[in-house]
Amino acid sequence: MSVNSAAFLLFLAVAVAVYYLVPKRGRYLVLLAASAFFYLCYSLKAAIYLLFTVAATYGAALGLGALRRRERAEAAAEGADAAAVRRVWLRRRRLALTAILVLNFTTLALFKYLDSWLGTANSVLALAGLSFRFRPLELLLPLGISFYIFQTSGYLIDVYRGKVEPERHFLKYALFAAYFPQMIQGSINRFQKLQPQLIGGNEFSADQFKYGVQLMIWGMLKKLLIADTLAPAVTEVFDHFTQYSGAVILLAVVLYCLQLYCDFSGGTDLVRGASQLFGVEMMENFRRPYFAHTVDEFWRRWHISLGEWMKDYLFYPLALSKGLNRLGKALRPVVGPRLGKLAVPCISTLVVFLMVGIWQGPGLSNIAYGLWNGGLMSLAMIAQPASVKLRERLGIGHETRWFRVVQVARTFALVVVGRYFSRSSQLLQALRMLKRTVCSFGWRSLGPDALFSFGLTPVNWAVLLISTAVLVAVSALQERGIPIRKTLEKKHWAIQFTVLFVGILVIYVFLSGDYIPAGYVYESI
Amino acid sequence: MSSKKWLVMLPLTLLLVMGCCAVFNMLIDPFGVFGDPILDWYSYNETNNPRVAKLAWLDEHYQQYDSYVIGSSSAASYNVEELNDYLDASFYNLFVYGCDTRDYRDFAAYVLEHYTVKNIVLNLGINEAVYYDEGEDDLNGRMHAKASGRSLPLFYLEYALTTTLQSVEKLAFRLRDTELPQVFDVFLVESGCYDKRVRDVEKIGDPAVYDRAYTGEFSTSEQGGQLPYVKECAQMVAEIRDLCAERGVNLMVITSPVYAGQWNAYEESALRAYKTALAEVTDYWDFSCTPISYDNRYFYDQTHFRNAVGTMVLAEIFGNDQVWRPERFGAWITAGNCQTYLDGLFSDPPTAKVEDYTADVPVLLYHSIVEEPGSYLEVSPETFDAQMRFLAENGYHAVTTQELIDYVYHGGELPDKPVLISFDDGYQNNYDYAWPILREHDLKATIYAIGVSVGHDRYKDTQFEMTPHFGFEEARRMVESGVIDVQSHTYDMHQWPPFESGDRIRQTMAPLEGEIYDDYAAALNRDVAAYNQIAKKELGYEFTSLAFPGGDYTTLTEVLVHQAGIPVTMSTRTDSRNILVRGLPQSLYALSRWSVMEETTQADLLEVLNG
Repeated sequence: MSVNSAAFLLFLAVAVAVYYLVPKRGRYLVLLAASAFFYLCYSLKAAIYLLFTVAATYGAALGLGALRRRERAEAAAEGADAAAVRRVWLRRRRLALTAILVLNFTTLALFKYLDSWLGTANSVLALAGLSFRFRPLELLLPLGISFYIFQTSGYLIDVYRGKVEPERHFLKYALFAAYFPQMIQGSINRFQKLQPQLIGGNEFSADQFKYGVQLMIWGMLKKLLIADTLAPAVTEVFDHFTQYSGAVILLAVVLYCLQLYCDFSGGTDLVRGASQLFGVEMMENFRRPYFAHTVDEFWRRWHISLGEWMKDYLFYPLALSKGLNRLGKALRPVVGPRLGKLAVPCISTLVVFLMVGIWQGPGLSNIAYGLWNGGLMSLAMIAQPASVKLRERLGIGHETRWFRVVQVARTFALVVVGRYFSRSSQLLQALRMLKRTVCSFGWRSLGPDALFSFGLTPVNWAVLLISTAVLVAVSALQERGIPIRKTLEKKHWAIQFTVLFVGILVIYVFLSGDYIPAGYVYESI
Repeated sequence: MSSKKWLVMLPLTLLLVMGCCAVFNMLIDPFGVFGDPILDWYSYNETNNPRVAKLAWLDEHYQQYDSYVIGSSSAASYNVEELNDYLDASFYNLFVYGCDTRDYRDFAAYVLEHYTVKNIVLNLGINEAVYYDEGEDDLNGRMHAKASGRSLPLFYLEYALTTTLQSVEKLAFRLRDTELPQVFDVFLVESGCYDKRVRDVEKIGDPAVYDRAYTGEFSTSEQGGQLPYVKECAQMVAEIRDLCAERGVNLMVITSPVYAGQWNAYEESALRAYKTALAEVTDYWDFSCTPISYDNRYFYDQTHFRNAVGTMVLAEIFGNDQVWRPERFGAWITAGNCQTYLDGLFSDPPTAKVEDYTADVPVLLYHSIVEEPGSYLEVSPETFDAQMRFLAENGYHAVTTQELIDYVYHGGELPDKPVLISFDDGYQNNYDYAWPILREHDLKATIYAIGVSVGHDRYKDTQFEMTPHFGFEEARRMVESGVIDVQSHTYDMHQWPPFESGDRIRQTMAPLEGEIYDDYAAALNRDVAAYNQIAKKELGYEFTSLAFPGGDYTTLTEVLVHQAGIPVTMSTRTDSRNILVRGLPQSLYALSRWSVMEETTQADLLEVLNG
């Protein structure tokens, strides 16, 4: 059941109605039942695997909690050397956490990367002239596995750190791990924030319900009008890039940036809106990323929940690790005190973005994508003093408007280059496309015909231009701090009605016909 | 507005949206369910869902008809005008693509119950025993509830609530609509047949060229196919038979021509069972496997025989000997003779030798015969004489366009080594030099004269000098000698800009830039009529062949020329051989012509003549 389908809307309507009809204390069971139904509609096998993960992490969290309790008890015992006890138990807890995280991420790797790695191994075997080949396992990739593995891992780490108490009620924990709106493409939520909302039996709030519906409409419009219109054209250019000039390739990559944003943020809006209907606020995932002034800021606006996860559970542990700090200190005499100080954050950033790349997929192009972003941010840290000096020497105030515009454009350009890697199936393909963009730009072939050469019709372009103009206008207002939905509700009812009418009309037109719901890009992750 | 009010507005808006979309769908009506009140575009509606839109058309116009062809798209190629002539009736071709015998029964029951019916021609291919009762899930394939007996309100509701994109698409296509059929507009509304005007003017000849043009359309199917719905098919035919008998309606059942690639894809036992089951419920004409089945040029694609083959089928049934058919083309099958017929069909399949029904006819093109040739269009009398002698001495026989027509249409014979000698423009020097030389070598030629230039040596508007053209007196003499056939190079669509007045100068027959269909059709028809009028008056006959000036024409030109009743056209292309195929008028279209020049050697000529 795709979330951008009439069937999902019907399912949601029934789930919402039942949710508010049952008594408050049973409402979480409605959410759990709806989540189970939603997941079973996808695949029984995947549901069994999800159940296995839920059970394993549930047990592991209880185990970690028990270890922590015993640690406290022993440390508090009379005559005990509290520090020594803590050291012993910390090792044990760390061992236990490592074991469960290894299990979690190994199974993720098994589902997500193994076939690709076996393919690479087969290529190596072929190069070596050996006839032996690994047979791909062709496992079904469970829906949302990257999201719920990360979410449950974050929860386990929080339990390990003692930030949260482990959930003892299996069904309540299962709901946290398998809450259906987050199954398509996140966001990756935190236990502390999500769990109380899920099990609290929320009261119906007209405001929240309205905002939820509005967010869903907005998300669906982004997906249907922009992302789905662009998807086939972008695929066409990436699949047959040798047939297109560098200019068309560049245009397609820029359009891919738009497609991916509308697909991912549209999908997130849709499920966050759906979640709001139950009174559950999921974590925000996007904050107008293409308005970012730096790549670093871009990543604080793009896929926020993953960025936060990486920051809390990977970046800080790395940056604060003894080993890395020792390395930083060792480097200082070699590279100087400033660079030596930057070594730790730079290495941590590179590792984090290497992981972000791998999280997206198994290929080398994804690794290159991660390193491109991590590298840019490290470079920015290293070059910052020089950049400030240069700006001062040129007399450019960093708050001037045109400088901000240049920064936004520069950041977007860097993001575009990254997208060559993240969209290509092979690293070589990305490099060839880049080379074609630079060396065979095809100035002469530029013209209106080029716009229609890769599958977009004049009607498509009209739809895209109008929709994108609305999107940019709304985003610009939000950037200025104007809350769109609150502003809208103060307008005359006729304006509110017109906006609603147009939104529903577009969605109805798509969903009432032969529209085959297109999957989400991040659904396959 | 408070959030509570907004939430009340939400379902109301949804209902309003649905209502607006439904009204929009009903007004634009992409399936012709609601009477198509604005666009009145049945051809489009029928393309979208012929089951629904054809019944909608008939409900409005049934008084015009008293007889119906029922079948799937393999019944599309029966010309209703021919049926009308043979049976003195008014036929409507109620064929529907992707139709199955359950639909046939529903259609038959509906027309018999609601309209006055004299004849029903029921056509069956092979797919009738492969599919049964399909398509109801799809708005494009659903039978009208009036005929299927399903819930009428639900039927209308589903079409009203379908996506408005269908309606928007219809509006968009309307802007792109042209005179000739396009993928969204494939029906002739009045007759119910497919609008095959484009496919029916494509040049047919060289089989290799045809194969290249339709690669994939004739892919060989897998062998050993079964026919799972023989019983159901026979049952439906029996019900139609009984319905007709109850009302005293004449029922004619035809099993239509099948391409051999499809025929051979099925097990012999399955085909036998199918034919036998049909014979047990009704007598029928069988054209399934005949000599034409083995040549894909008689088919548009694997499952659709050409309109020309439909003409042959009807001629066989009604004994019209003016239309050529091969030996063993069709048989009347009864329960009594069915097994004997099938034994013969499978033990000795009815094939034909290609040379028995095709002929390669090269066409030579000359313009001027002058003493001192100065351009590539001019040949000296000596060279022309030598070339003609070479033809005669090497056993080539010059033929006329009428002989080509007789060969293709009526089963006439062509001599060995046929060649057609043609001249363009109608110069006086053709009369002075070519005619005597041709006569001397006992050869014939066709001169394509420009009507307005006959007998003139000056341009009609500006009185500038031009190469003299022979007059009708000379033309008559040449025609009466039996050596020369004078045909059309248009009346006045071969103008030369520097010497014409007016701002719409027609150098060729192709449409002028930006010319709308109505103007173009009127101009072309006027030209044809003017030539015919003068030819009839001066020479006693209307022309049957036309050479395109400058070799320039479009598909629309071809359509209009053949609609005007001209069976043979000449191009100046040389990219394919002129392979005449009996029964296929298209093998006389846009014939290739090879220009012969002063420099042309005997070896060159032989290359042209022998391919």
